Amino acid sequence: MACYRPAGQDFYFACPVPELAPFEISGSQPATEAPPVAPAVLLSRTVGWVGGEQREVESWFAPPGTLLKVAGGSSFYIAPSGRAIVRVEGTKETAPGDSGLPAQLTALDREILVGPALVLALALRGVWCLHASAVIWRGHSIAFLGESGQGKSTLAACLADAGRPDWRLVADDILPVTDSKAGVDSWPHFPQLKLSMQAQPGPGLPEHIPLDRICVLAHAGKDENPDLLSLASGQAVEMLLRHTAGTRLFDPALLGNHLAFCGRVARQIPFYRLVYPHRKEALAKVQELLESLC
Amino acid sequence: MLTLDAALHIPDYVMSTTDNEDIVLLNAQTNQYYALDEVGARLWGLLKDGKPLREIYQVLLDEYEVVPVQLEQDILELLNHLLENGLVESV
Repeated sequence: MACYRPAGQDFYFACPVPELAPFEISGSQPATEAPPVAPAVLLSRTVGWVGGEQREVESWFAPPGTLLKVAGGSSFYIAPSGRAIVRVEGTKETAPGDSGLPAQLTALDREILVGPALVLALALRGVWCLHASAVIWRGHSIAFLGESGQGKSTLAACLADAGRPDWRLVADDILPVTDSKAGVDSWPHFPQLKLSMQAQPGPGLPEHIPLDRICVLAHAGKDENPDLLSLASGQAVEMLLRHTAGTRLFDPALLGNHLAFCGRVARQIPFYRLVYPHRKEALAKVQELLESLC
Repeated sequence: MLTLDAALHIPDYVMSTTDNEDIVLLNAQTNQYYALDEVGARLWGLLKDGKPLREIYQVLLDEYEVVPVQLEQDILELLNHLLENGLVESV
């Protein structure tokens, strides 16, 4: 039994998950929730980038929980509370263990587990995974939202490089976030799959950090300079909706919870549109603008 | 053709943010989101309260500086869009 605590939530797995090793904890598994039954109703079918290629991803209502099926990989049952993720079908890539499933998770299964399965389980527990990079500067944290290729990982990495000791990387691609009456928190103890194990930012950071601001990256014209503009709350909600991971797997009730979360966060923290030219000499100005926010 | 005498209601599967100046609507059947600006959000709030379209028109006419004919046209255009996307239904 392997026990991990990514994004501040305890999870127990039959097989070790190396990607979660930095967040391993000791503990024993709580009473198992109701076992999965045969999937009954298809909730959604979509195509997502998993295991290095575009794959069909299906979520099925499998009372009382959800069954996640990814083409080419095992299926994972997620309990309705999000407290358990159980592999229920195996591929035949390795020898079967006692359960009739492969004793070790394949690389693809691990990616499904720490990707869509974990994202869905966390959402069921009220932890929403933003497609975002994030940095912290002198105690103030900023998340960057943007489409793929818009430079959010590059910007966070550049700000947090060795030449800027006050800046630190919090997340490269996925940032788990929660909200409460006290404010919005980010949870950096989460595997950043595009970074090597040595480059993971989470292990050296507190388990949760108040999230102070969110910037949405916007393309800059050829000669355009960096700029920051405030976003209205409706635009902020739209950006959060668009840049939350896994929403295509959410059932209507979860979509409703997510919408309410986005509305609350948009009211609690300021959002900006950051015009970000992909020019090296623009970085100093971007840094100056971001520091002026804090 | 839609007129201000039509009776519309909001289906159960449509959700909206609350307490924001602008409103975002979610059609949970299609997983599609729609944003409404301030005036659209005001219209939505009144529709949610069960007000008939003519009363909504009158409220908006009183609250905003707008030409009556233009307001009616804008309201019907928005409602047609909401109807097409399953965010409101004819009663």
